[in-house]
Amino acid sequence: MDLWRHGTEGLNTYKSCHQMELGSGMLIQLPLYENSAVYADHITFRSFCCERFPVYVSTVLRNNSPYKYLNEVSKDWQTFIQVSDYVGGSAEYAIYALILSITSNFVITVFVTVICCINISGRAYKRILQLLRVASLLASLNLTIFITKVLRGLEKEHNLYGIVRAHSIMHIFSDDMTFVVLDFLSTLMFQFCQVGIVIRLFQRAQEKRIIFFVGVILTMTANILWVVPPFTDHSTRHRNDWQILRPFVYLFRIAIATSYASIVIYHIWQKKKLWFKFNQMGLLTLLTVLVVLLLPGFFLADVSNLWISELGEVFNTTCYVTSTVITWEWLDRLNVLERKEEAQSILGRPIFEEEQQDYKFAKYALKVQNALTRRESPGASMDLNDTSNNSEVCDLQTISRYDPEDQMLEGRSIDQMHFNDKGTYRDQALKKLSYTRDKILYFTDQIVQKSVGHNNNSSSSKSEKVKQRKAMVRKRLGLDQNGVYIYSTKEVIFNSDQDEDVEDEDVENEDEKTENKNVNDNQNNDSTVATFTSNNINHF
Amino acid sequence: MVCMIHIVVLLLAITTVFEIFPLITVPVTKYLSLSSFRNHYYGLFGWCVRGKSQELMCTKMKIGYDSTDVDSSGHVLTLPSHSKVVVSNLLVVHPISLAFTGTLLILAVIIMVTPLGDSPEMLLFTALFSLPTFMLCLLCFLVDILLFISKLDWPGWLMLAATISMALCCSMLWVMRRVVSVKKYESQQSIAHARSVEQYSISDIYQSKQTSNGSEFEVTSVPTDSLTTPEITHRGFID
Repeated sequence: MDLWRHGTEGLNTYKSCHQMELGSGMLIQLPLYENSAVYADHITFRSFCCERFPVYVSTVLRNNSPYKYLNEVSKDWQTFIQVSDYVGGSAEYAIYALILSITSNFVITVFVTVICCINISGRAYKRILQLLRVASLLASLNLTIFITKVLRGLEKEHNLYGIVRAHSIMHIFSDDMTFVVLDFLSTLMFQFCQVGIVIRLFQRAQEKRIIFFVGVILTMTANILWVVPPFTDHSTRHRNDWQILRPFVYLFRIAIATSYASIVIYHIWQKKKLWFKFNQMGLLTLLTVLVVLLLPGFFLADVSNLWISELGEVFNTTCYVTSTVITWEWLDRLNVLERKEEAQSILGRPIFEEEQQDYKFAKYALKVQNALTRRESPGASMDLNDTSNNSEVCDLQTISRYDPEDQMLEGRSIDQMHFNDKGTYRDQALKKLSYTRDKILYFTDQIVQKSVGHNNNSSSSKSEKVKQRKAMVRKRLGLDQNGVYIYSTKEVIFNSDQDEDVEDEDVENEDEKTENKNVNDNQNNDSTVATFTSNNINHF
Repeated sequence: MVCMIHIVVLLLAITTVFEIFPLITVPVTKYLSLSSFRNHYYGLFGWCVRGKSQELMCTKMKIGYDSTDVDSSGHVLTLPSHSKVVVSNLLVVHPISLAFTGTLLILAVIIMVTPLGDSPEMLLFTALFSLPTFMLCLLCFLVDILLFISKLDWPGWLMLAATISMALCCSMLWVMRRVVSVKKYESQQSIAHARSVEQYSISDIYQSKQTSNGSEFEVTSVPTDSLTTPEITHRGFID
């Protein structure tokens, strides 16, 4: 509470909360004697207050009522209703509105968690999805505990003092350690999931790595700085410095959320052709735009004092849950649409120059060739002693182990004597640095690209044997990795070529006859591949 | 590509100018302010109040306001958003953001005028550098909004324009990195292919096809010395 605003407590003093001298002239009826009263010559009165704030009954006292408040109490009431913060009596902080907003937060969070656990499948980015599920469950659990505590607290207050205050609810946000810790953990996880979502938006490997590094660094920085202020000693001489840290991190979080919203909205704009391809896609796109803008929107509402202050704090968990889960669902549906389009097109999925640079496609082609030439039985493929096939097909491991430096070493003249020279210090340092970089990139790729799962729901009726066989073939072809798909082949006929070739038809007829046999052989081979792919496309 | 880097430099120059305005607000100059509220004028290095004689009285120049400062009428300083006065120390992001934007502008100019613009590493570094620059720019705007809300004057609102402009620059730099990466790959490929493959002109092949009476397979004996029209030359593997 009061991240950047002035504290409200103590700003207003209410006279009715202190003892007031009413003087003399009052008759007080004695409770046990019906017809007798006592004349009081010196009366002091103190209004019922709770933590220096006056408490009023919710009954409306009309002007014609014989009972009236004291003048001082009425004056304090006018002050009380004009204070527009959570300790004041303005309608914005009415207990009903607060309970309504908190319970609706709870319902939305639980609803989105159920969707996340049941509806969203683990086709891609399995580990991030698991993290998303854990974070959603944690957020739901946190809000459940919070709601329980709020209701129990209100009940206790009502029973003890006969009042229900919004004040006590707002304090739980900052004072209750269970809420603070669980909220921090779930927010951290959601931010990591948002990094995962941004990674999904980009297709190039290098960009994925950069997003991973930048996203993780930003998230860690924001969260480390967020937890530092509560554990510091504020009585030191650097008190002012610590005081500005919390608002700075608050703004930093808003800046990260705004950047996330900008990236997602830019991506949505790029895919505007797919908005209305699917019945619910337009609605879901609109919802996604709204939910990613929730956090920056609440910040603006908060600073402009539109409704209650610290509005962002109240809706923080819900904002993170919705902006992550709904964007994830939108991306899943978008991927399905894109895969459909790519499968129907001639060229398939786009290929980038980065994928070509490490002979990735050549290696993949060899892998496919390797998989196709081997026998399909698992026993034979696992047989290490079977060298007949391995001798014909180039082994992938030999390619992956290929290192140009080895070739350079081999290319040294045998006439010269080479000592085991370690090289200069600079070379050593560069070598170490490049080795470290390669290791970091390797682990990044492991996290970014290898966290892939596949949906088992579609093949639940098949036998275990078929499943294992399928999984083996998928692994051989590299389909267990992200971004590898098989599309059905498509025959393309260019009319213009046919027209041009009409004149040369007679000349080429003879050549065609001679080549027919070869073509047929090739078609046979192609047809086996085509059949294989068309069979598999339904399942992958 | 050439157009894009020019646009980036132009946008960055505009952004730098936009970010200079908050630095020359009161008390540095007397005519510009980040925000004005109830006769108080707030700047980056202090705040001023207009007295009864219409004279502007300002605080000492330093980043962040002091909560003990009082105006001529004896009122304690209050900010339009009722924020804590200590939060005004966050205005320090303005000069930091300007320094980052200036550096990014220099990097963009280097890319524009030197051959370093063709280096993917240089572009990657510049694009990476643009990320904290954008974040700082956005933080400047958020700090202004937090302190002064809608009471911002036009130098304050310029930070919103600077943030949008920086977002555009950032996107364009990343697009440029992609373009340069593709270009480098294509040039490497073309060099590798040019070593092993002879080049043939399509027009010459057609000409020789028309003149020759024999089968089309005889066309392949065209001498390469006469093929000098590069615009219709194609390259590729010949098995």
